[in-house]
Amino acid sequence: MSVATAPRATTASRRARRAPRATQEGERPSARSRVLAGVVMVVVALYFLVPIYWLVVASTKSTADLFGTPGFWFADMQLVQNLVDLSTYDGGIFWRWMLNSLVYSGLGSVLMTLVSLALGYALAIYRFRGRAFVIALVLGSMLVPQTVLAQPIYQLLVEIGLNNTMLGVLLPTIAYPFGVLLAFTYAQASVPQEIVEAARLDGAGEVRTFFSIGLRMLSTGGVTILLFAFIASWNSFMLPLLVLSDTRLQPVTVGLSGWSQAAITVPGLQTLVVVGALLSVIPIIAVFLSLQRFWKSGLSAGAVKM
Amino acid sequence: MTTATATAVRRTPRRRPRAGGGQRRAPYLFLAPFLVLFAVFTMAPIVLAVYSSFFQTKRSGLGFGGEGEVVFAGLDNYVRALSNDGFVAGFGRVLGYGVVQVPVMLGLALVLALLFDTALVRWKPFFQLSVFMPYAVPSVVAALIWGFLYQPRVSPIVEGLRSVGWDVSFLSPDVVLWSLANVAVWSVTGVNMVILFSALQSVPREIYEAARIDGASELRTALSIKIPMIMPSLTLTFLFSIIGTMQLFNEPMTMRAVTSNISGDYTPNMAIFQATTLGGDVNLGSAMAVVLGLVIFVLSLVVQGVSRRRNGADR
Amino acid sequence: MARSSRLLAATSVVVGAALALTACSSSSDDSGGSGGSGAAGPVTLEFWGWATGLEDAVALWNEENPDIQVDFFRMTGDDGDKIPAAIDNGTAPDVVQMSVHSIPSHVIANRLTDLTEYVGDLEDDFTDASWANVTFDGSTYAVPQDFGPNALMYRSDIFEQHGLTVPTTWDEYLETARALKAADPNLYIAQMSPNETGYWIADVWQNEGSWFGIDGDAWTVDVNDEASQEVAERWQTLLDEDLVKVVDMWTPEYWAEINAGTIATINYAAWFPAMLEANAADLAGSWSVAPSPVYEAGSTAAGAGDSSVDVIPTGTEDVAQAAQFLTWLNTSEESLDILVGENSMFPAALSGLQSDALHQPNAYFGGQVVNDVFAEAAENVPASWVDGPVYDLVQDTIKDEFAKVGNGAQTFEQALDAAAEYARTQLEQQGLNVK
Repeated sequence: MSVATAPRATTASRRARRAPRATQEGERPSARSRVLAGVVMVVVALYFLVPIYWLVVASTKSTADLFGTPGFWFADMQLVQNLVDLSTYDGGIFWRWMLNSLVYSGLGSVLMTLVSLALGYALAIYRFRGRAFVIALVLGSMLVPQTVLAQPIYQLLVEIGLNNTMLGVLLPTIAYPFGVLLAFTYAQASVPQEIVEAARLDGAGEVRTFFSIGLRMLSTGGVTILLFAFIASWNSFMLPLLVLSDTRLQPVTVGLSGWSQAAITVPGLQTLVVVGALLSVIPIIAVFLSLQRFWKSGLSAGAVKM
Repeated sequence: MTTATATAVRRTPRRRPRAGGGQRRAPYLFLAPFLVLFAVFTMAPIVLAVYSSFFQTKRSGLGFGGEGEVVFAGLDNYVRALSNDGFVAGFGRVLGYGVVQVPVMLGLALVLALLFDTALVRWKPFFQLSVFMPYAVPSVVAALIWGFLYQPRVSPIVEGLRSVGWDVSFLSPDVVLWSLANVAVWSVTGVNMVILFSALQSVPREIYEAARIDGASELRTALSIKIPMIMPSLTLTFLFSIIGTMQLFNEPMTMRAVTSNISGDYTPNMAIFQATTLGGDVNLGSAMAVVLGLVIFVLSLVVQGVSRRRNGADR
Repeated sequence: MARSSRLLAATSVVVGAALALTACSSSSDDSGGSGGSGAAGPVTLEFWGWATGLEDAVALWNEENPDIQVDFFRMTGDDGDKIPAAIDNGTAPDVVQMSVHSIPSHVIANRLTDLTEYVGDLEDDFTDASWANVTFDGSTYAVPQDFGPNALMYRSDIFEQHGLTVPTTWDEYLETARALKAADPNLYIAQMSPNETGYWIADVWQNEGSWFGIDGDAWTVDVNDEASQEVAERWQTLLDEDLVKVVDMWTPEYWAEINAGTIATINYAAWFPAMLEANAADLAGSWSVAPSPVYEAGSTAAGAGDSSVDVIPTGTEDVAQAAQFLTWLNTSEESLDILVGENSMFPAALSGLQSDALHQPNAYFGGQVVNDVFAEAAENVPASWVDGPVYDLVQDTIKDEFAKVGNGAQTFEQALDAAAEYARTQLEQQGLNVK
């Protein structure tokens, strides 16, 4: 079982060894507690990785092997065939979906992050009328069940004439309360009032101060928000499903879900769902890895205080 | 919420006489993009939903004579929602689920965050990625994976347990709720770990000095200094988890594909979805959503109240 | 927290905005890209569907009809979820494929165009059952497309091995089930799948039952009537004696059971053989098809499960042209050649059922012409089944109640009573007449 994860562990550890070791002053912890921590970590990593390992194995199988061979071990290597099938099914629409998802999540997460940072910064730096109300509003909106909002949002989009457009999928997601809360806490912790004051004395306008100083000081926190925003839009499902009647505009989650329902009556679709699922996770992991460097330092940008 | 009232120091700037006005106007400029979108795509739909919860479509005969008429129904939809056994039972289900899932998940996230904050763990980036990775897996895919891992005959896990003499059926009516909880733990532990770890990282290291000089162990330091220091973030993640639990939807909805032991109204959110889409009754669905929103609101107030009292006592 | 007065002020602003938005609605009725104005001249129709081969049929139509061009969009999975919202907001396509069972719920919400004057004369082109399914209270709301009559797929090798003959009546079927069990305790005559109501519906239908009925200007709820009770009794016996395997259909586990050879017969729809072939390829040659067992010896009645139809949503401007296209799509020889011949659709049209393309030997079934059996069944499905406006909800409830039956928590009879009670309540709450 764990045999197969061994090669992965070694590559990861090689990468890890190059990374700077977190050091902390003080005596070195005892060998016993280090071993204990190591054991805990390995067990935990297994728990989190085994299902993903299953997905990797499953995506190399034919339909029959998927149902008929042990789940944690490879059967006949069908990965290439599966990828070819996936790329040709319905005129290669899967890759179109992936591209859509990249556009929605890429654009969406950048806009979500900027809007969140602007608001979080304003809430942290300024005292103005209605500030408490805005905070309450942001918090309160997190209580609302999203299931019931999809239909009215769709109604509004139709009124505005944005249904079945990429903009119609993007716009409703940009106001991102979770991101605002994070931005607010980061700004409180990492943008000192004095620096803003100093900028003002130098004659910088408020907006310029935000773009030149605020954003720079918030950049690491912003990266965290960007990551969460990217994943949130990558995984959004309900709204795109309703808004888009044209399957060619769908994000990959909606497409895959449709396939997995259709797998009931369309023979052989199940393997495409599995392979597609694996591929749909890769961009997120890529984003995570490329942000991890920032992210690690970004995490120290501010404690979450409320 | 912050109660800081750091009023900006009023100086008469030498070069920019309009700075005062800029400072007064600026926050609204920063607010505008969020608030406009928020008003249109969050507030307006909420208002529409609340509005429609007070109306009903009445039809007659076979119902084939046109659209039926929309009439004001007062609180009738709310009465129907609260007398709907499935909807009410859903609340009991998610509460029971939350009582177990939230502490387990947050406990695990906290332990991992504390471990990552020590020098005990090697290969930190790799282990952090492992813990975080499931969060990147869309719930549709997560349900697909666990669906395979839960089903007898195709699950290596069930096989393995059977070979050591433990016959477990993950999808039986009594167990399926906890199987769902496991999927949720697997999915969201990583994100909570990140938030808690970030809070730990931002605690100034000097604070630990005194403890180290006293010769306190890592464990003592964690319990008596670190956890109290990150109480605000713990409260925040706790709140998010409660909200997430009450709104449980994706996992059970997608898991229905592999088991019929999850009913169509298994959670309150699923009941709303069922009433709205299958039943075509938006009015009833909206009333249910309002009820769910209120319940979550009350729960959040309780959580906030408790944590505030705790924090007050601590400091 | 903010003071309530301020909250109220803010909310009322939003309410104003929202109401202003809704007030200026529904005046423009643009039916998704329909460039026509109902007049003669070139029009473009938007068509959403999922059956394989529709693209090719549409391409042929477009070639022959430059004045009525059809834009086809493939639906992935059951995209039915977004159809209601689309029709209600005037953004629906001009023609949509949907499950036959959804018709009444859409009709009472005024979502479907009454097609009686356009396609009323097609009645003789379809089987009695499929025509009855699209006609309510004298009005026709859809054109039947495919059909799913039942026959008994059985493991001929297992039957041979244990010296059993294929049962022709349900009484014999019960005996066969017991014999299989006696021969091998791991063998089940069938599966019981709470999540697949198609199984149940077909059995009730074959017994000339239904879930709903129309009596004058009132709906009747027949979920637990005599015909259903009779079916329930048989299934209860099968379950009590452990002769059926409780497993949800379509799941990986289900296909693993099939592949493991624990399930000896599948009494199911005409489109299922292709599924078998894809998901249990190794069992090629070990299956055969026979007519479904019947209730009375000598009867030829067959059941049917899910089938799909094409509808024209309200708001479509070029109804006549759309109906013309649908008539061609589902009854013309050239269209059926593509759908049936090249894409193995099982048609609702009689001419399709009799076409040579349908009656080809099936290699997976050892060369048997399985569609001989299914086509025969199609013409013998009674015209008794009536869908009701709360079909989807009742189907969901039946699934949930049957899950409890499968777990041994209640009987089929109790499940049917609960579902009937629920159906009645739902109909009454909509203000409809229920008898």
